[in-house]
Amino acid sequence: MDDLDKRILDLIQSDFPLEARPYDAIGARVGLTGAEALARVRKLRSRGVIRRIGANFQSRKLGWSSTLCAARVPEDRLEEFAAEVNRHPGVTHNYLRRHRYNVWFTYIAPSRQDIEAALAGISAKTGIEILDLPMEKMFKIKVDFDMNSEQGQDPGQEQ
Amino acid sequence: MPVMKFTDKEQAVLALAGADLPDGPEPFADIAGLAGVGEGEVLGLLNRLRSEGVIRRFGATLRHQKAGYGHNAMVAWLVPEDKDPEAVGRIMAARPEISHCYLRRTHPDWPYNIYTMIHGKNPGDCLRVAEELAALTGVREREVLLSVGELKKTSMSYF
Repeated sequence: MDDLDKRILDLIQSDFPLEARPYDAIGARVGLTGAEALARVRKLRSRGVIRRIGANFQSRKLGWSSTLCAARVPEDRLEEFAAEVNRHPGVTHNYLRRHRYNVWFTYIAPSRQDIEAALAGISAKTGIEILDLPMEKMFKIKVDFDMNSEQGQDPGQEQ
Repeated sequence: MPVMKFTDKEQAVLALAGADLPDGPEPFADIAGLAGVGEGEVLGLLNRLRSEGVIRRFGATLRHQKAGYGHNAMVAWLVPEDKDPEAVGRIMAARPEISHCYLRRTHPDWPYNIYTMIHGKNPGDCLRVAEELAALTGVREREVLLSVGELKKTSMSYF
């Protein structure tokens, strides 16, 4: 990855141009033709540096609800519990963490009632209690990192 | 808040925009073709939803480990009653190493109310930042939840 790749990544993480020929706009910002910019993005995608390019929706603005969940799962039941949780399309992130609460996942659904019913269903099926920790206030959400400075620089808070 | 309603064609466009952008010089024309609408309608809808914040970000999502931010820790903080959790949250959110900072509902078995996601380039970075946040805010009581495995990571399909 060279400096031009890093500048392109910085540009397209926060604001991919929503216009007919986006790579022309990206190229113009970094001194490349549209074809050259597209070739670089294509390479970053095929190498796996870019996982995906697309829209990220704000679940609350769509009227949906979300929560963070935690569970204490015995080592020998991890696989079974994770499979039961991951089956749900509303579970987007699920991590094993080094803690007595060792399984942490997020749940997104059209309403709070949907979430509560789904979590109750998982608990009934597995016999494992789940902490339901819905968000009360968001201070920050930022998922892009400045590739050109030593530390990630805040490109502006996202809502 | 009611769930936002979209027409069938808008839903088709948003499902495609929420997946991975077609690879080519005119990706929005490609989406328009797949959804059976005009390119202008695609760009109009996406630009409108982005300006309204319904699309909180349209851009590339990186694999952080490949981009040099391989270490992360979720830290749950117990803000004591004599401190204002909102003031603490704002101080923590201002740090560039923090990507997410939320206030969440507590549970009798889990009294922690502020959550921060800390990112670092090197092992030890996250714990150092957590120590600095504790000194900065005076909130000492915390649980560090180091990720030891990814059980699921995907993007939500709303449409």
